[in-house]
Amino acid sequence: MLKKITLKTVLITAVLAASATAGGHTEIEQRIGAMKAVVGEMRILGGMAQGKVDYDNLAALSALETMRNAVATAQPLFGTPPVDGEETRAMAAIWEDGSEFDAGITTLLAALDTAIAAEPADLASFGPLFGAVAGTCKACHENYRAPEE
Amino acid sequence: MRLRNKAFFAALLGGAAFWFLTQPDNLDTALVAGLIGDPAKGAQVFAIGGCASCHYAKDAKGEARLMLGGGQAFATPFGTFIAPNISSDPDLGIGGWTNYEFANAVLRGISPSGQHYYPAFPFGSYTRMTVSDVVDLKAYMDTLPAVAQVNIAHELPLPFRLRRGLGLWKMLFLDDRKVAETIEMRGQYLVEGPGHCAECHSPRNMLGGMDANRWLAGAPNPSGKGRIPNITPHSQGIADWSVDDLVYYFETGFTPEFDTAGSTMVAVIENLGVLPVEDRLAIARYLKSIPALPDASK
Ligand code: HEC
Ligand code: HEC
Ligand code: HEC
Repeated sequence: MLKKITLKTVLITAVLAASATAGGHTEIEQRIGAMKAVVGEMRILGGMAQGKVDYDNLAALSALETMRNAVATAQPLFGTPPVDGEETRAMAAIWEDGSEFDAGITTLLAALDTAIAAEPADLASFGPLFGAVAGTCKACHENYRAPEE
Repeated sequence: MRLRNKAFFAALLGGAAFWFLTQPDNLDTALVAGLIGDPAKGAQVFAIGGCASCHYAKDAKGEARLMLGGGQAFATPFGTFIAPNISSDPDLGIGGWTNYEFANAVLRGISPSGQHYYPAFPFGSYTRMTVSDVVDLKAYMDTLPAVAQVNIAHELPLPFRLRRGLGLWKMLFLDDRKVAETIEMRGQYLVEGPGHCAECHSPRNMLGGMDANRWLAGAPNPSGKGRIPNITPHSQGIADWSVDDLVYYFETGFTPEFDTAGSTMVAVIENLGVLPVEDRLAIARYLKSIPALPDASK
């Protein structure tokens, strides 16, 4: 009897694990990957906003679109709280008061949609649109991302 | 009998020496006399001083950050300190203090009743502030709301409960050598004095004094998690950051890699954002000009 239950648990766990690692990655690894893609586009956009790189409207638009896809990919990947031992900086607060966290992602997506729709032609119009996108990162990390070890 | 006498005298002498050495070294009253504070200037001193970050209620947001009722707990190797009420409440806060009493507290770490404060209140840095900045600061703080709040006492083991002994700590570590406030020195003044950057970014010795030989070279994080980075221009510090990168970080919280600042630096950046841009630039230039030191955070 006991053996049977254990076997069943093992099987279920194995099936769950297999579905979570579809594509070879856990939910956590996938969302961290998506966030890395977000920051990659941020570097391109930020360089232009800071004036380190000349403003290029097509490159900016493409970076904004890629970032939007990455954020949309990350959004459903914050579904379940991590279990002990999983490497993540996502804080438990995400699952305790989720509505504010969800609002943070929605705000970021909306800021990206606005920027994409505006198709900013020059640095002057790009600046404030970029500022609205950039402002969301710090606000959310402050409340929901734990410090680096 | 004679031996006992000797021991008695030795103890008396030791006691007298301790008494003498630990006497509060008060600020000269003449330095404050006649000064009239400017609240608008004081608002900027308040920001760079980060006074609110420690004295507002835990997790306060927005306007509530100007309610300086205290209550936040700071765990240190010497015990847990509770931030006091420094709101303008005349009875429970510091609204009833004179400019002199306030300046003596901020610049010398001495209370109106003549007791030493613990260095958890970073007067070890504030001691380098100018008296006029401190009087402006008081004028601004008088305009903030009164908060009627009583806080619990510090939780300290017995030897550290005796404030008198802090006189020795001050003798060893309190260095008020003023940093001349010329334009070139503005960054140094902000970093060493009101900005108290070294309180977090320098390692401490066993007695809790900041290690001047490893100034700003990084430190373990007192809150336990993570490390506080080296901010000297060493390859293990901010060698790769340009002055513009630093200014951008102080303004937006983005590192050159476009990651966001975290932990206790978030509040510091919020405060730096209130300053005029020349001040952020002065801080950045100063950091790029100090001796490069290897990482001391490990
Ligand atoms: C709504 C909340 C939220 C917003 C908005 C957000 N992030 Fe994140 N971010 C997180 C959380 C939570 C993590 C930690 C994920 C984990 O470790 O499981 C994270 C992780 C990261 C990481 C670390 C990846 C790694 O290597 O570990 C980077 C970089 C990052 N975010 C960049 C950004 C940038 C840039 C923006 C703004 C364009 C942004 N994030 C906006 C919540 C957010
Ligand atoms: C790192 C946290 C921290 C910061 C920053 C800080 N304080 Fe404090 N402060 C404390 C602690 C802790 C005490 C209690 C010290 C003691 O009891 O010996 C204190 C005590 C005081 C007192 C004495 C209050 C009393 O009732 O005797 C005054 C006045 C004060 N702080 C003003 C300020 C001002 C002004 C600033 C900004 C320029 C400031 N503090 C910044 C932590 C801080
Ligand atoms: C209350 C503690 C505290 C104070 C005060 C403080 N810092 Fe920091 N600082 C930190 C922490 C913690 C970090 C790491 C932030 C992170 O993990 O993202 C940091 C990061 C930094 C960095 C980025 C370094 C890097 O390699 O990422 C710079 C630059 C910096 N601080 C400058 C300053 C300056 C200038 C001051 C004074 C005006 C100051 N700090 C005051 C705690 C503090």
